[in-house]
Amino acid sequence: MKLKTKITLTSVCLLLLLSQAFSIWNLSRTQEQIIENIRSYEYDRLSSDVWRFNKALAAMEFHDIRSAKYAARTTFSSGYSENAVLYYDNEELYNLSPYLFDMTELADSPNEPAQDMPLSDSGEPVVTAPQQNVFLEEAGSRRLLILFQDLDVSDTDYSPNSLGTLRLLHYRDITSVYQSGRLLFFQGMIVALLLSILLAVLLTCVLRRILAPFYLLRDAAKRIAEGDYEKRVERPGTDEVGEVSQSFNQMAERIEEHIRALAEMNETQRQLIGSLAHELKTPMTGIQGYAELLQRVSLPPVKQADALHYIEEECIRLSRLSAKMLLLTDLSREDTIEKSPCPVSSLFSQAKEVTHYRLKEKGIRLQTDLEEDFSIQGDADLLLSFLTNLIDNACKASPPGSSIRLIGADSGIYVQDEGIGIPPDEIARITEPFYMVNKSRSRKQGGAGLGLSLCHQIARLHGGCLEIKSSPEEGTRIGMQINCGV
Amino acid sequence: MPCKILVIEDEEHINELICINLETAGYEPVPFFDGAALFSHLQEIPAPSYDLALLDVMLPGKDGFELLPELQAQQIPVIFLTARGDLHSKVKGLTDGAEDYIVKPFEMLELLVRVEKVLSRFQKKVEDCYRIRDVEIFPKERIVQKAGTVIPFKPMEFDCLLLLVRYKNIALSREQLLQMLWGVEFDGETRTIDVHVGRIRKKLGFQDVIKTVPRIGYRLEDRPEEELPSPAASHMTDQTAAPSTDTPEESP
Repeated sequence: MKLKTKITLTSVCLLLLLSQAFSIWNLSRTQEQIIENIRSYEYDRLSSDVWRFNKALAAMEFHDIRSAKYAARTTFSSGYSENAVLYYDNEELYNLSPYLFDMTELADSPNEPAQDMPLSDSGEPVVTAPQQNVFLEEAGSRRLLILFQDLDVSDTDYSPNSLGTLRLLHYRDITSVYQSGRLLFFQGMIVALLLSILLAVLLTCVLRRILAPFYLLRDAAKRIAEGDYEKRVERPGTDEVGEVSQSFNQMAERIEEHIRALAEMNETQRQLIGSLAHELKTPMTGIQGYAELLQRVSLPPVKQADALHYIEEECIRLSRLSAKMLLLTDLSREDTIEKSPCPVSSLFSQAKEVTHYRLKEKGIRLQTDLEEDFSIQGDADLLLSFLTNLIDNACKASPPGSSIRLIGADSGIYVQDEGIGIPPDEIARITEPFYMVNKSRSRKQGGAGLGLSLCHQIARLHGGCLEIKSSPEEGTRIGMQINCGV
Repeated sequence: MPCKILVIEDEEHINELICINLETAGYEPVPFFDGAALFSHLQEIPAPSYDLALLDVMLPGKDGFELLPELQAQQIPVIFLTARGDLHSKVKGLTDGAEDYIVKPFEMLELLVRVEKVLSRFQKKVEDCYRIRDVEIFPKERIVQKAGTVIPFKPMEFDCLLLLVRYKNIALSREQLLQMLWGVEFDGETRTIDVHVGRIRKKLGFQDVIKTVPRIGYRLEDRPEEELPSPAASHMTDQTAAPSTDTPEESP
């Protein structure tokens, strides 16, 4: 069920319930009041009648029961008979009313009034009229208020011992009170119902307006779930809905950022894998082809040796490639590394040692240019690999007999060569994995196109950046500047 | 006169590999390692110098797509040979007018079959008679003669012999033979080939010509130096023996 319907139904039910309860309470109170008024009026009338009746009877003389009855009847009929009945003991003496009252039952019933009929509302003591009885009786469809009182004939001559009690009964038809009460109740109910319907309609309209932003939120959430991460909710309100919308928008923004970052990363990875697969194809073609050749064609021994040599060479290249690839993916995943102070002088001497053989083979001198030793905060192994990669590149680019300089200046470490240099428009791309300025030359020298990507990542992890200064045919100076722009 | 085939591939070893295979199959390969060199070479030579070009797409100097119109102007059919396996490159290569497209890594037999298909489509060389020692095979007439007398051959035996002769000096696996003879792969039926080859050997006395290559299959050996050496063939063998002399300047 929708929130709108829920709220509307609940309010309507509550309204109906409360209004009906109130109207019942109110009506019953009014009814009681009216009946109490009638009762006190009737009580006064009865009392005065009894008093007058007593006086009239006292003025008379009778000797036996019959005459007494007669006298009482005549007196009664002469002025007391309106809405009244006269009894002698339980015997009906005079009754002009359309009702028959069972005096026996009335007199025998406990001498206290009906529970719902308080006798007095003004503190008037009930004890003052012990003989007075009030009853509410239902006679058919009519409701009657019945009061009766015994007549006092004690001061007559007649012996009270032998005489029964004369009793005067008054009644009053109060059906109309109940009828009007019921009518009022039903009228009230109809009004309440109409009001409820009105309330329901108004509430629905108002709730629709109030809840409209939530529907917008819902739709927006659905759109985002379907992949439209740019969806935002427009609602600059300051109420709770506005706050929720604002939070929602913030959430959507974050999600969009994350998704975009993920997509970018994914794209980079995809390109990397594509390049890797492409890089693998050439050595694979060679290995497969030479293996096939060896198996299927009877070659002269020299050719066979060549083919085997080539296969071995390509396999070594592939394993080197995979090692570099692993290192590169590891490094690009990392954000921090364990750092310890690494003295530049020892880094340089280690790098010299590692690359010594390769440089000697090509007749290239390696010079160190370090005026004052200092330390770099970083991972010694990574920094060494950074230097050897750069020296390797410099070695490949340099003509035999030239020299390479390792420079340690206060802002970082650099490798400078006198090689062929890098064309200016290629500098921006050379750190891309598998990007090679001259593919076939690089391959001939056993390069995989990953060296500078690795150096770039290492520089990044040390909080620095790769600095490349190069002019074709003059040489390249490449290195890491620590704390650049960070 | 063997077909002259341009091999334009910047990777030295792959180029050499292709050349060795082409030579073995009886073609005359001419290697090139960069686009610009080929371009200038094409400007110098007279039009119908080559029968086919195997062209790498990614080349230093000029790439394969740029060289394609030049080769077409010389009426040299082109087979692209590349690591780029994406559909876009294939479609571009083929719609631009290449005859075929081979994606690296490829099997050498596949390369040879495709080369042969393209050559036969251009009718550059329809071999009407193969000679192995004293045996002559006429593919059109489907006749085999040994020392002038016709030897009766069953159709399947003839096709088998023809395959071995056409890819002479290269071992063909039983699976490859089956596939090329029947067009499907027969499971566990490779012994059929042994039976056919046995009959062929017996009929032609080829016990020492059709060699069994362990783990692979059969190779029909026909070394030009053993037979009557033709001038072109001997030149080819010289090239095979001497390493890395395959430069365009040296090719006839």
